[in-house]
Amino acid sequence: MAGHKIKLQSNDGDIFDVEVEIAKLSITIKTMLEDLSMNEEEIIPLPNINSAIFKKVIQWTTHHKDDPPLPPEDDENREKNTNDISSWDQEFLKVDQGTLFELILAANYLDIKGLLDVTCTSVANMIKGKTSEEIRQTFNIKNDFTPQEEEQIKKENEWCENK
Amino acid sequence: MEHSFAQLMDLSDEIVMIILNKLDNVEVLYSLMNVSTRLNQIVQDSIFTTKITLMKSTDLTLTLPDAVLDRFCLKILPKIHHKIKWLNLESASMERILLVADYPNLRQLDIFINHEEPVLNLIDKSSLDRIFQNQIVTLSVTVELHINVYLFDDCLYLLDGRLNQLHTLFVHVFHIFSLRSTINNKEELTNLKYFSLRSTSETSVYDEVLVPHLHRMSNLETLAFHMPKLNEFIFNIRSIIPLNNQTHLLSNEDIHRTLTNLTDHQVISCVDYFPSELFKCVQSVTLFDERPFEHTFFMQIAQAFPFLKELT
Repeated sequence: MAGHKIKLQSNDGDIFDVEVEIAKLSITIKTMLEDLSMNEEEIIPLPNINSAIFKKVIQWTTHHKDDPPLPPEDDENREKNTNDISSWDQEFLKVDQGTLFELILAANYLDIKGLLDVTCTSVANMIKGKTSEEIRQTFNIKNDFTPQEEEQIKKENEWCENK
Repeated sequence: MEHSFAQLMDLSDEIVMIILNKLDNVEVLYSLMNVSTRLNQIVQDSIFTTKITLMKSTDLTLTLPDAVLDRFCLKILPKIHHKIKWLNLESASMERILLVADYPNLRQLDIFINHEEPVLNLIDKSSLDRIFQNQIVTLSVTVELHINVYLFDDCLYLLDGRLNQLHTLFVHVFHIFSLRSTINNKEELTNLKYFSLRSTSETSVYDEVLVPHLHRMSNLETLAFHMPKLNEFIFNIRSIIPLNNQTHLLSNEDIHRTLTNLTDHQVISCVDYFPSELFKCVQSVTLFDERPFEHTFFMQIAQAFPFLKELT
């Protein structure tokens, strides 16, 4: 019922009073409340989310509580439009990279499709157009190819260049 | 807020795939191939390597930047060439891409011909010979070739005999005008079984430009036309049905019933066997010499056409 609140606890001990209707945008929490018959007085633990990230999640779900449900994705005909992030979401996602990935992990754990969608789109935009070296630098990824693999890549290049 | 330290590589493969699904396959491969062993495994999943579109998606006639093409030709295609089943190419870069590797599992090749380039430069015979001698001749037995051209002339350069093994051809043409140059393609396309021609604009040169080439496709099994402004379409379809002791032989009425959607159009059909019924009105019959002219055959004719006056 609108206005009713439940208590949700982040992994660093903070307890949040959240409106049931907003909390239920998370399929994980909705399932806990409905299928596991948890009552509204119980504190629901969220062992994978810290309070800072959960505040952001509540901020996002509160803003998007009246959004229509997203259509199911069709891999074959999936839209490749990474430009359709609303201006509110763009502002919301002006965070450091670590926070962005924490939000993705939280959205995935809480099963909030809209939040997962927009955060993944934001990362996709960070990938788009970058070279492999720029990707390593941007995302702090170590080049872990063995010397033999590096040599193999070089050989393949030479083969192509000589063809 | 305290800074978090989660990184891209802390995400599960499943979530990384969700992110990459937001991008075109070419964007995924261009940016993430040869970054790390884990990313190499992810981006070489068939979801990213089955269909490759090596041209700008926002404007189908434009070539990708050289840096992107170089990376694909030197580093990416040699690694994934055997996984590619469907290639979308544009004319300016197709030669380089097709020659850089073998594509043993290619099933569909779409070529978007850039109409802004002069046709003769674009379809330079020697370059096409190189491509088709090296690639398409061996591929074309199994490949569906889709060509997107501005003028019908452009696709005729491909139908000059070098693709004589091709069995499936889709042509999407913007305009069918009178041919701009003399193209003497007369060889039969005997292996072509499926031909689809799609044009969004009106043509007044159907007889002059299209029909001669349709006549070359004498063994077609499927013919698909998409020409919404075509006013008149006259066709003659001949089907051979193995009888194999079949007791029910299709009649003319049966054939007409399969064409009920053509209510406003005249359909004439005839069957080339002798059902048990009599043809009392037939006075003249023309035969092709593909049947042996034996005595029993003339007996069948005499019984089926009792009022026959002329047999040629």
